[in-house]
Amino acid sequence: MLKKLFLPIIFILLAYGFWISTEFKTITAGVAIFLFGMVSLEEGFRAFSGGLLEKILEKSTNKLYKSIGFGIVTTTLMQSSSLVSVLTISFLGAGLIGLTQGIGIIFGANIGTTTGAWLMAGFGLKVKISAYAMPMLVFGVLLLFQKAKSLKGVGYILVGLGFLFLGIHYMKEGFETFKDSVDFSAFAVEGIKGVLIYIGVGIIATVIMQSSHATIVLIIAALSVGQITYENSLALTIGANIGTTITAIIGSLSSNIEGKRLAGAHFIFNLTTGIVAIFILPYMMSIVDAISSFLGISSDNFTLKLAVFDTLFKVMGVVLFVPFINQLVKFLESLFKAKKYPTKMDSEVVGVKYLNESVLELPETALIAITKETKHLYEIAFKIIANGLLLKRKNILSSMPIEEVLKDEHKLEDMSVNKEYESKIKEISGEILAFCTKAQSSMNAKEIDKIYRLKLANKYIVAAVKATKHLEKNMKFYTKSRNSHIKEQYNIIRKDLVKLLRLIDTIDVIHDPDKIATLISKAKIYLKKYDIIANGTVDELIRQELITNQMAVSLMNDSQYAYEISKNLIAMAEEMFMNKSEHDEHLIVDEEDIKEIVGK
Amino acid sequence: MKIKEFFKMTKKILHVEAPNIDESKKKRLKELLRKLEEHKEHIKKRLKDKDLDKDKRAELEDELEVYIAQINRGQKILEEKKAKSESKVD
Repeated sequence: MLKKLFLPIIFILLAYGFWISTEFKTITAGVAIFLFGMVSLEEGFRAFSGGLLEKILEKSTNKLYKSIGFGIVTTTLMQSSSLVSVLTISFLGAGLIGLTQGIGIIFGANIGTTTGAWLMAGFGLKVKISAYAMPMLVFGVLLLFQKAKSLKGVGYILVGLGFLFLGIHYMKEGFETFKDSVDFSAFAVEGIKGVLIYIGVGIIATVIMQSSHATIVLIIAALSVGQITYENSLALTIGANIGTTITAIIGSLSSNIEGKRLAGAHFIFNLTTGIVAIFILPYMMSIVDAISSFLGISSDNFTLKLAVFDTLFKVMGVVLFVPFINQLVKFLESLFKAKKYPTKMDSEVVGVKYLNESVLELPETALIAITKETKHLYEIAFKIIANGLLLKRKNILSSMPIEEVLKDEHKLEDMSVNKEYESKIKEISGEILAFCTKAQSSMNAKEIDKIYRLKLANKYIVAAVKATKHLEKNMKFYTKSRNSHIKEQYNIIRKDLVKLLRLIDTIDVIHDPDKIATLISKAKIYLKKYDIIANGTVDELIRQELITNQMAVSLMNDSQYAYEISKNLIAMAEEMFMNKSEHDEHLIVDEEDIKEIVGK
Repeated sequence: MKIKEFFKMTKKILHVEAPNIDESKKKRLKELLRKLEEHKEHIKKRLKDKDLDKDKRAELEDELEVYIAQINRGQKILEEKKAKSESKVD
């Protein structure tokens, strides 16, 4: 009910304000233009987020201080902590960073937003800022009409900055003319009562404008013309910082678990810092005075002193929270519990691990998430295939000699591969396909090609597990057979598959695409060369009557299934791991090359 | 800067040849083939060792086949490229 009434009430109040005061109209127009500038700036930086940001992020968030630094720098550049929050949630969703790093970025972003206050107080008030806005808008709009994504991005950034400057100009102008008709400073309230009232005003203003950045710029504009007192402006700043968490919480209601945890961190951080600041406000004011005189800021330059206060307030918060960041992470993880993904072979349905709506924000992040999810699917498939061969995954992945791997058998329940296929493989691959369809709508041709290759990799994984399903029953039967010849053939099938699974595991950790190409070629040649149907092994066993006709039929069929498993796993490896390469040509042998070699 | 010099410099900048992507690809391929040849020769040398056990020999022979097949593939690609560039000239 309240939510429904919120917008009409705001509209009515604004309309009334416009009717009674032209200055109010100028100030609110300034705020609107400023907010629109922020939206344009966000749009511009989005154009550069594909790839570049992820690369920087990978290298700059392995340590907490680097995450904080990343948050400070990106927010300073983008002048928007909300875009940084969106990116962080997206990175968290894709598994690119952990919650500790995510919180570090958010802490850094908080400090980064203080540059807005510095920009306004140090530059915006001193020069005729609108003079800079006009050329930026003209050049920006011209660039917006360009086809190239990067030029368009620069266009949005210029237009964004232009509108930010223009917005500041209108806010400043509005307050300057307001001064002649109404004196807001007459409403100044002193003492703790004043602090609490103005904190409340700061919260409400930020919730309405959905941006603490805009509120603080507005506070500085009002402060510069003496419409509010310095003490009240400090309380308003604290209020703006608390208010911004409310918008973050509202935004996270529809978000995923990562978004909720980050919003929780943001809320706890700002609220605690705000409460601490209220209690130590007189001391903080003294510290601000000391820092200001150290920086050469005159004692009556309240706007710059407010910028100092804003920075001190946020840095104090970070210093206060950094020692407890692990406890904060644990608390948030217990408060917002993620869906569990069992890794043991059991009948529980396994869901996707890396795919969620937040990841869709950036094509490059979506691509990483799909690659990770495909690997996750392969890990599950690996286990199912290993168990279908009555082998243990951990043994295959160890350096244990293959003979011993075959001896240490896994006890399989009846038709468990089929159960696993239905409950896990089908489920996850279906979700990956659906997610790919959603993700590729915002991708370029190169990225769509990568998606296509990942889809193929998924298809091959599914086919490999499907073939294992058929192998399961006879594998169980013939590996226990009294006929040593048929038993040996089934063990050869298992040995070959163990070799292949080990080879794929090796490929996964190799980064040189040429080496990967050699290993994939090796697997392809081996598959053809040791195909027991093609090389006459089965014929020989029948001719010498070493196996019965029934055994021969089973062996023929199962060799074909084993061949299918290998073929699909190799094809999966080719699509998945050659995707890492920047070169489009590789020396992976094809059917014709293999024929030349095996036929010799 | 004199106008004449400016034009000279502009001309020079504009005449910088665009990198030939096809040529760089060929160069990379040739380098790769050279490395594969080296591996091949190394394995051949090891196979000459008469004391080599049966399993190791079989393993090396398999490896040798992979390198031979990859070299063949690379040569085929190079030939295709050559034919393509010749047809362009025609």
